[in-house]
Amino acid sequence: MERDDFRPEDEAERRLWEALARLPEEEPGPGLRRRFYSMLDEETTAAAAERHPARSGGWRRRLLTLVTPPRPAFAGGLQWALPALALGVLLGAFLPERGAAPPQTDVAALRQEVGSLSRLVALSLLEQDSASERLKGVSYGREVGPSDPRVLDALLAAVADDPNDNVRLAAIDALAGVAGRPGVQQRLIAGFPRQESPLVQIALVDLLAEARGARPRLQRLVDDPQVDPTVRDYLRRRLERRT
Amino acid sequence: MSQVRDGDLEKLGILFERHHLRLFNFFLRMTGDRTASEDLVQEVFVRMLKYRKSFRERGEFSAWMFALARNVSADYFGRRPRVTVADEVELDEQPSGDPLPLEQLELAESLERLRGALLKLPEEKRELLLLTRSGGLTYEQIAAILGCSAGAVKVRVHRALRHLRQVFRAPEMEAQHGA
Repeated sequence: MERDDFRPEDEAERRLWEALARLPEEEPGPGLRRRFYSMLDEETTAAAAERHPARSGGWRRRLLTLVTPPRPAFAGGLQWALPALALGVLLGAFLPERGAAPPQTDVAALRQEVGSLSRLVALSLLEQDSASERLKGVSYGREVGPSDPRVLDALLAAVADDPNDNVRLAAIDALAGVAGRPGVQQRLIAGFPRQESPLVQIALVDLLAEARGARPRLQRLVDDPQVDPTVRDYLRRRLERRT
Repeated sequence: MSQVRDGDLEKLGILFERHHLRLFNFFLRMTGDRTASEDLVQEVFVRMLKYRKSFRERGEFSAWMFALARNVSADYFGRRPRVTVADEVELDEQPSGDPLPLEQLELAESLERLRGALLKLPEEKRELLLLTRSGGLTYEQIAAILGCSAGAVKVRVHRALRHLRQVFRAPEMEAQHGA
């Protein structure tokens, strides 16, 4: 029995029946795709580790597993556990005796220490073999802030060279706050034709189309035969929408 | 899905790309809440991995996916108090030959109103109409999910549609009575 067998009782119900199939579709936010692929990467890595336990070893990886939360998608405040722990230890070491006010310079030094530690974790994770670890690195990098030059450089390198599409997509997402910088735009555009995944290219278009000053650079890509025709079409429509 | 079941988990990405939009809109029309709908889509794919062994080669993927979606939806509504549900009405007493209030259904405003009317239906009726009209399932597939006959599904769809029509028309009726 097919759906077309259904016969509404009268004209009013027929119109309603047809309208139900015409309700406009909405798009979910980009976070859904990111969360899905993060979950999938973790499950894939876990399944691989079960099949080949020896390959999942390595002191560095084990150390990082100990100090970083296992599921960043659901971790929420937990992802600051390590910096918070460091803050606690440093507070103990730096704070003067009871009754005395902490000097401003000590608080600034503490803040700097915590920031350095988070940056160190982000950069270390971004160098891991496992895609899910690198995704965590992107997540830490986002928390530290892409305005940090070394984190920014690592995120741009991830967009250009990471072998995993999902890491590249997450890194693009993390660059949202700095996409207006000419240097950032230049590196993203330069690597654009080398991106093999149309999904990544479309994410780059979405990022840059909203960025100030990127329009002339994007316009050149519309005529670049190296770029996938579907992506070029999307880019053309995206640019038209902004005018 | 067979490949996912047999251990090639990365193939789930292909299924996500093909079906997440349909699932998202199903949940959005069920809940009226974008954030919750994204969470529910994610939960369906988590369950696909968890219960992948239960997928049968001969089974159709869409029907299996919506069976999972239905369970996820039931868990969601089970955890939350129902907000606004239109009163059940005695359908047989309602006139069926009313003048058409629906000529303007092409307009975005009317479609928005239709979406609102859907949200006021009891959860089971809303779910049935969505499975039938936007889930892309046949009556037989829906019957297998609901555990009843295809004929029973058609009867329920008729009732749900009539109830939807009454909820959709309620503001006009109130305006007429008020005038």
